[in-house]
Amino acid sequence: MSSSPSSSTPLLNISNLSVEYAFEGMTVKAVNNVSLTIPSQGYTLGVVGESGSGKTTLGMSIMRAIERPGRISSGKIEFQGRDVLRMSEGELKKYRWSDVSIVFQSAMNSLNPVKTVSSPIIEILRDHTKISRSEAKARAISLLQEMQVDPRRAKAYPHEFSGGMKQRVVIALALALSPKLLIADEPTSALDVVVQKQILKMLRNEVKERNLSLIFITHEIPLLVDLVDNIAVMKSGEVVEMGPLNKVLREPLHPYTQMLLGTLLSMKTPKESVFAPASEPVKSVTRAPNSCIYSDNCAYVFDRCREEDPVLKEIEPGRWVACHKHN
Amino acid sequence: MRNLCVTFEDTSKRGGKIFAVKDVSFDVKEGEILSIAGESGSGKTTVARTIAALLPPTSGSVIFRGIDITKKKKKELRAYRREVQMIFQDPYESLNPRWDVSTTIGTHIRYLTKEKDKKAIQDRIDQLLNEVGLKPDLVRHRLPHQLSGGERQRVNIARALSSNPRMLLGDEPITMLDASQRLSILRLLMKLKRERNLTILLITHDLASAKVASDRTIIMYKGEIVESGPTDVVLQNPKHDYTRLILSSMPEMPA
Repeated sequence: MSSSPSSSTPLLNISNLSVEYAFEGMTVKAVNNVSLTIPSQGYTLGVVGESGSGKTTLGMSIMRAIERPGRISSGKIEFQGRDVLRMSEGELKKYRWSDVSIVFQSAMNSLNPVKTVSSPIIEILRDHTKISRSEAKARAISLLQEMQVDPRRAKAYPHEFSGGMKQRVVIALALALSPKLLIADEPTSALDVVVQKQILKMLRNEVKERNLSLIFITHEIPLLVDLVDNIAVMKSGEVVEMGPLNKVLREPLHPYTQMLLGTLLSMKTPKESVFAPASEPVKSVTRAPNSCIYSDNCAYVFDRCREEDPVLKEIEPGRWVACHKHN
Repeated sequence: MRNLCVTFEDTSKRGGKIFAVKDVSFDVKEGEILSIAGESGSGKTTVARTIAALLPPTSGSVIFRGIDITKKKKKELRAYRREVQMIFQDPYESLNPRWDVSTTIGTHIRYLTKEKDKKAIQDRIDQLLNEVGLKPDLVRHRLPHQLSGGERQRVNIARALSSNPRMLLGDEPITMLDASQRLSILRLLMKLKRERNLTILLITHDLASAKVASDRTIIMYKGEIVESGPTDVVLQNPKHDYTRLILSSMPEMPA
């Protein structure tokens, strides 16, 4: 993102981040040289990508939760100027949940089945702050209420809750220590549309009320509408386009973004459409190293694309594209 | 017009009756694409599995071309299985990870049609691959992990078509695919319907899929049919509150 006029430290700064996975004697770059910035509180970003795009790995990296066989091979992650990759265990404990939190799609299934739903919230409050048990209980209940969970159900067990309710508990947990940044990775994918709409509305309110910064990771672009102000599109570990959401949706610059928007299935999709032929390009098993990540399928491909992977460039204020067509 | 009547009730034994599907009746017209839409727990997958003869109904019948297949024994269903094929939600799960595309489809051809001639089988495989939009020379020897989700699903569809079925059941066939591949698989199904006069029963939780692909739509909720009719009518003029609720909850792109 373009640097803010004042020289204040950005909330989150990711520079040239690469994450590798060792796989059967090879190394695969799940995230390849990604740079992006969350400049301030209240800044919301949607990260869009398909399977293998690296979007989940990116979210996990920010939490420093990459485990073997993966590793952060290069780059920097700075939160309010502090080097996350160099934090000690003690500093990490303060960082996670208090500065940055994360919610996953499957989080609702990792609630301890033998503990009540308010237990993890109480525990995290007691673990990180000096409040008494009764205060923690009260705070847990008010958090659940904030997420529209009936406080009378605070002593229920996870299995008594529907998917949507469990996800609310998980979000309450993520917000318990009032983090400045929330990462949500496909938090509603396992929920039906009616519940999904409620959860997203609740999330939107929390972002407003708390002036929360949000990184919302998804493969479904329509979810970002009315939720985030900015969008970053990822493919094969790289960010290919970035900018204000409404501008990118109205006028996508990268051919891959154009393809994603053109093949979108929604109630507005006409029965006949020129963008979706009955056949599709075959997945590339090998792509020339150092070529553009979209060179195999791009309609505008030319020689340079096959030899040089384009770098993300700010081609107009706030609008970033990684494409030789725009150089 | 050959109609399929489906009527059943289903119960689960847990100190009382729980209906996975309750008193569901509908016809499927030959050559149409019919969507059965509903959220998880609506009973739509149970309906599909009963029609596919994977699950016996507690009561009711599934009449295919005049024959009630729920009253048939396993052996007698062989002909039915040639005529009614199913595509499942997880494109990876239905494929043997150690078989290449050729072997996957070839084995199915040999099993269902008793064809023995190698060249005939190979030609048939190529023909099917072309029909589903895959280039035989490129994919013939690929293993499932060397294909994208959409390509795997095309292989599943090619395999299902190998016995020239009259009807295809798709149990959420695009749910697990990347967003950019979903529409083209629906287009493929629509093409197959046109070119083969194939009857397709599409189980989905996404009304946009129903809208784009299907002629008629049935909405299910908690085991029962709450609404049904021509797709445009159901989706533009929903009569049931539940249908309206789903429609109003769907995420929309800005104008």
